[in-house]
Amino acid sequence: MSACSGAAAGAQQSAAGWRIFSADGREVWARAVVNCAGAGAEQVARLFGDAFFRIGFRRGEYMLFDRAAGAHAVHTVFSVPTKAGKGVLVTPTADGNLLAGPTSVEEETYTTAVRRSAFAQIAPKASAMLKNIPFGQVITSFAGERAYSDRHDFILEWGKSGVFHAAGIESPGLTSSPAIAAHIAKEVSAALGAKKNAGFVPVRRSIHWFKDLSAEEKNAVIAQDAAYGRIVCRCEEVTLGEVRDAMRQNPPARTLDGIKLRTRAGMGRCQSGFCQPSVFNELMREFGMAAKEVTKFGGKSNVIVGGEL
Amino acid sequence: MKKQLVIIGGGPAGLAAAVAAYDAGVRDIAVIEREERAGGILKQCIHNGFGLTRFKESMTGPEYAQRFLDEVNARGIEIMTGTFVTGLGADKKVTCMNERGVFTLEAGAVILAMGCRERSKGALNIAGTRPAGLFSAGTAQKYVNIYGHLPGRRVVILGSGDIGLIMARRMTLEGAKVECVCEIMEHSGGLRRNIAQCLDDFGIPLYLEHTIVEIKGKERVESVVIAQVDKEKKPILGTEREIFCDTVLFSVGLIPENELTKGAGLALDPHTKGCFVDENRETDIPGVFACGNVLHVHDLVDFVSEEAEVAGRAAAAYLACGERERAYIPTEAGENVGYVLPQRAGKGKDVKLYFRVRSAFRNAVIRVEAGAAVKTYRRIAVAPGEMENVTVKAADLADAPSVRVSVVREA
Repeated sequence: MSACSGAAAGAQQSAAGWRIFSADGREVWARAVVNCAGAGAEQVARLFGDAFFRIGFRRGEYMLFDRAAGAHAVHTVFSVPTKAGKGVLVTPTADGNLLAGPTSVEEETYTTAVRRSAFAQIAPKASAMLKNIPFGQVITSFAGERAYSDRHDFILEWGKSGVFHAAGIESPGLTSSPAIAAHIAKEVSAALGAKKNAGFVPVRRSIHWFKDLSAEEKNAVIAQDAAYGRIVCRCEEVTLGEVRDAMRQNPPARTLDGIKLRTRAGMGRCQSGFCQPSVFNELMREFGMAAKEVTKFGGKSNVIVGGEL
Repeated sequence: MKKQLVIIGGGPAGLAAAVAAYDAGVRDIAVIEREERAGGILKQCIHNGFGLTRFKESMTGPEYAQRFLDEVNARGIEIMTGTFVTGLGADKKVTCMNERGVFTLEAGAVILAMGCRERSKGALNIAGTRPAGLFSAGTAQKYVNIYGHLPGRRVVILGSGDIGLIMARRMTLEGAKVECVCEIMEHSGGLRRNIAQCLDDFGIPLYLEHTIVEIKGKERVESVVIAQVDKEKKPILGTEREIFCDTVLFSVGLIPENELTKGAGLALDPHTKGCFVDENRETDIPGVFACGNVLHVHDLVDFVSEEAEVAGRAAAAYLACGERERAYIPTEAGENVGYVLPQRAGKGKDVKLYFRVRSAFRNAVIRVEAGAAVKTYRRIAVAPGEMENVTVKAADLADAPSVRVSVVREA
């Protein structure tokens, strides 16, 4: 099972295991707990009474370009890494966009706001590596926090509490993650005496897959479900079938951003200008939500706050 | 499947083109419309003022669209709604998809009428967070006018394009407080009548040479920081001001939606962001025409209809007579003119040139130079938000190497 959209607010240990609860009153019971909370890893460790590492943040800001500019770079270009990391790079993305960034800003608190100075920092560094970057074709900019620890790198160990911590993973964290996951599985299953579940399917299929099918394959899918014949997001050519699929997966995508991240609807050049009301209506229909209940990404990120006419 | 004429887009341009082509003799026409109903963005433009130029009466957007839709229906012209064009080839093969599947139409002629899209907030490099409450003005218009949801109660609008101005009034009428409209340029990009009727009449301040430099708020917008800009459009330090709001609307320009056009291998004019066309609105591919906002962004739908009729009639002539060798002279944008359309004019007939001025002023003189022939026309006032036109006589074009349009202040 999974409990989405809830930050862990507290934890209690008993003979039966850990009771972990969220601020809105939901709770889960667990015999083993793995802390892989990224930027929140220190906070989560403290909930369980472990305090053997500190987490700091390095904010990285990016500029994302239209897919029409994607061919501007044919592979990732970056300069010689420094202590602060790899620095600004220019790269095509897996989905065919062009991406420039990130910056690197050390800070104490977590924020994903883009600074005013970010653009002036990224542009010259990117331009030093690649000529004629089409800065007029930026479609959005955003920031993320890279968590780093005072123990330098790669904390993968049991805390005194009996919680397993995977924290402070620095570059190349993404590349390492499959190996880290295998390591955690081995540690935790040994501790629990758990056996391998032969029926477990470790692979989840992508939801955004229809666009690249051949015409014959598309026709076969549309014959089964006509919703795949209706484009919702014109920029990324995402179909209604894919949007519905995203809402019916476990766990379901229940927000505009949830559907965007799974299907790419709203990630294109118009940045959801055309498809947002359609996706909004689908969320209302699928989950029986009122307009005022639909959010961008949960919490109080409600899309409509002015009322009904 | 073969079709004599495929029209991509069932908005005002596509509908008018279909009627004109039919009346010029074409019977095998398909209008491809991606939405469930034809009419385009007019469907959500419930304010009036449409049709003043063409019909000498003031209609709402849906009324204007319906007038053309009725004409289309009276002729029995096929509109394929819920159908999305996924590809266009230089060979005029149009690949479509709808609930029945993927299919290809082999067209004798194609009219591009896909319209335009709004430039998004993301393209502006505004600092800050990305909370809920940031909308393109047209998206907010759809929520309000089609679905009856008011996005927010306290609004800041960036950009004084017509949709932004219309939405300032619309949100106000529905009970929201519009704090201000910020415009980075020294003039508005909207129609003067919209500034008077949508802002001035409601006491909504318009801050020229101002922009939003930061958006604040974690989950929902809480405020924006606005600042005055200098001549290079850079924010002036010390002029920042925080304005509390729950909603920001962006009306920061329209971009012709030419992805299919590019896919067909057609080059785009960097000034219009549309194809290069002749006075028939025929593109660089014979038998492919373009009209309406996909060709250049119009401010009045009346001119979209007029342009679409030119394209519709020309497509019919192409289908009847085939490709013809023709002599063209290029058009040029001179002093204070942003672009001139069409980009080339065929010799031997009068040609109506459409153009936009770069800045607003009164007592303007339009100067049209075609070789030795120079004609001038007076205008009381000109503005970048209002497209101008002049008609040049065939005789004046006969021996000219080019025709150049400039706009100057009256001495």
